[in-house]
Amino acid sequence: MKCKSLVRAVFLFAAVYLSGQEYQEMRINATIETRCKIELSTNFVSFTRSGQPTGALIPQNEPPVVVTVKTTTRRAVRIYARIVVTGDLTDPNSGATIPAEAISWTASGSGFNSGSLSKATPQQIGDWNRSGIYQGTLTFNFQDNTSYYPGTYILVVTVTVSGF
Amino acid sequence: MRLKILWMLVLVPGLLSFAPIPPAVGHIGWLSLRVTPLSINFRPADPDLEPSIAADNPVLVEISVEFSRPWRLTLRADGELRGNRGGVIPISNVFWTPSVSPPFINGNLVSRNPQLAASGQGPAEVRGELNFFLRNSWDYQSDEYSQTVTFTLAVL
Repeated sequence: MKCKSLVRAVFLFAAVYLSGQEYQEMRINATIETRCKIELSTNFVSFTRSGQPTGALIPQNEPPVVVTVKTTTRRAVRIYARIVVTGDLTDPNSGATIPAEAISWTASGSGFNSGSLSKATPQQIGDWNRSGIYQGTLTFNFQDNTSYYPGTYILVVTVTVSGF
Repeated sequence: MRLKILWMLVLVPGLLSFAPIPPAVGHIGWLSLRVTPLSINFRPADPDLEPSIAADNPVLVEISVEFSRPWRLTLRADGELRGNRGGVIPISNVFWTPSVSPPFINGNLVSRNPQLAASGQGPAEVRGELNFFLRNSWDYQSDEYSQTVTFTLAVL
């Protein structure tokens, strides 16, 4: 009788001891997609000819354009920001044109490049090789020439960002 | 007889310590923990539009404590969120908010370090949801990430 009680006590002790902890495992899954976006502080810049000598570089009238590129990308994938131009500066009243190549820009900021517009090829304004937020500025300049007729010329450019 | 009793004292705790604990629903004696679902997912989202991504489902936690002792529920991540292509997201970016507080409390996961999610004094029958979130960021590498989290209910 004494023996049975003792064995019961041992089992009870073991059960209490073991049941003092319970656990369950849960799996967490997360998907991060390749994604990129570009933001510009303004969508308009202008240049004013004011009696500069031939070939003068006329800076844009407005403050520099702030460009923000945001991207989540895979390893070893490069992200490129480019300016695409499909035509020349055109005066809609006279039909006169000025080559898009007359416009250039100087860049500041990590990964940003200076360059000139080109109808032939989209021009790179920056490239990066990892996820993050990249901010820089572009200051556009117009290369004047006395052969350009007076007028109001317009050019629409497209800024793109993509990963390869 | 005395000898037999002595053997029982030595052997029984040793044998029982190898008793398997059911993986889905643990219930030994006076303590029970149920967690559903056993998997949650964070879908991709624009970090600007969704700075915190909610998990696809809240996690229902059901606790039964029949001890009259203090108890606590902890969550332990086995490591950081690891991607198939080598990406790493610190698991501390995963946090939860409870539907019932107390006994559940807010918290965030920490790699290999149990974090308190609920506590109380037994006996208790508790049922509540934990809503998990992932802090979103443009700094994350695109990848498919996963990690295991262990819910542990312990009587102190």
